Amino acid sequence: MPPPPPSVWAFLTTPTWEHIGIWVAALLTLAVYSFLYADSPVFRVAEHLFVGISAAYGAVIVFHQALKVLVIWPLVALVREGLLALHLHAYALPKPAENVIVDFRLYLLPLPIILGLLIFGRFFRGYEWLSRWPIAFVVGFGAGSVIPVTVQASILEQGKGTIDPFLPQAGEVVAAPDQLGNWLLAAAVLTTLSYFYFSAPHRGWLGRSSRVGVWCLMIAFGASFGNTVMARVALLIGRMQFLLHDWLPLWIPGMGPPGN
Amino acid sequence: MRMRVPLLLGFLTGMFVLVQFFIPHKRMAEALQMLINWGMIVGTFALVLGLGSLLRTHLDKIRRRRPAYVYSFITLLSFVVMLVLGLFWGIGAKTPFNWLFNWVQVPLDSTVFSLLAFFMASAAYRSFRARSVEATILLIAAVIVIIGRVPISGEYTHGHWPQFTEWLMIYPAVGAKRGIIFGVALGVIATSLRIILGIERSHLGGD
Repeated sequence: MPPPPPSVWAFLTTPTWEHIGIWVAALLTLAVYSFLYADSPVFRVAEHLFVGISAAYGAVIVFHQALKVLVIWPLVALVREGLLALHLHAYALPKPAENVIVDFRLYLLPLPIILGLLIFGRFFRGYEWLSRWPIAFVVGFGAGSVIPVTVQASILEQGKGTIDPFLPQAGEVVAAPDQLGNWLLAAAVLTTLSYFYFSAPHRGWLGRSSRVGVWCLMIAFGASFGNTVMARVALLIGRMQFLLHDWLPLWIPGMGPPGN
Repeated sequence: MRMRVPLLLGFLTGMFVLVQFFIPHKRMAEALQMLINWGMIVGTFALVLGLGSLLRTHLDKIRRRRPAYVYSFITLLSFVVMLVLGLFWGIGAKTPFNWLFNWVQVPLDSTVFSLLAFFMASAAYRSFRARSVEATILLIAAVIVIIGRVPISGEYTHGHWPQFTEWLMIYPAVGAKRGIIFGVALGVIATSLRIILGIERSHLGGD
């Protein structure tokens, strides 16, 4: 037997953080949905709250999971090493900094910190160009790492995936719908590519092929659209379930869908 | 100095990351990991820059008493509260930070995105017209997938409808997407090479 739903009286007399959370979440959900009627101050409050909370969430996560691990604790260990090297009194390492490996890479740590600080150069008149250095580093890194990954994942693997179904293993039986699908898939790849081939006029066989390519693209776009719509509808259903299953029984005892 | 150093930095970083992929050695992997960490550190400062920009925009709005500036107080207040709670009380399971995440951010996030269901439906109703062969194919594919993705689809439609939807998604749709992926991949490789070689400089701004 599921426990009876907590009543509004129980909420008022002994509110738990979870009860308060459900109320807050429900009111914010309704505030956002109020936009469907009209743009109102209630919606604006929820919208601005969302921006502030999300921005701070990102900052806090980066602080705990990147800044502390990659900068703060290694710096604490590095400064301690420096004090020890100078035969000065050094502090005891905090527990998280004990795992920091002291080697040449640690001595290079000031480099990325300085590089990162240069990004603020754009706030100083005459030194804006300094902010190009960290951007060049990050973009150069991204450009270099993306080439082999793209060749591997987006060209070789995709090509393999298109050809492989035509080379079945010994004894492997491919069902008729899948066989038809494999042929259609290969045809869709080739005709779509022909649509994006601009080195020759789209006339004759290339014109016909690119036209079929457009149809294939329309199927893909339509399917993507349908999928996206249904993903949003799933979120909507989730919010409705929250309101009906979690929030409504909290203030109207006995309310909510059967079995709640 | 103003343009050559960043170009050289981009070239050296890009070439190192590219070349190390072909040299499977422990030292190379370590150096790559160090560069990844450096990238994360630089990215952290970029995040601070972005947050600073957000705060500056809202503070400026309040200072100049721009229209609807009152709401900027809410953004600033919620930002500061969440930041202080997260920095000083941690991000564990039973922290105030986590409570705000579970009961404010997550519901707002999913509700805002679920709003798109209404907007997409209304936009589709207004603009989805089968005026040409291409538009008709798009419309039919979208309708098939929408009906096929409903959990009770098989009960109220032909029993094979969900399977046909799946077939449509994994064969013709994937075929066309693969064609796009090939094109995008070639574009990505060309642009990356242009960046590494210093031909593409738009990310560095003007002189």
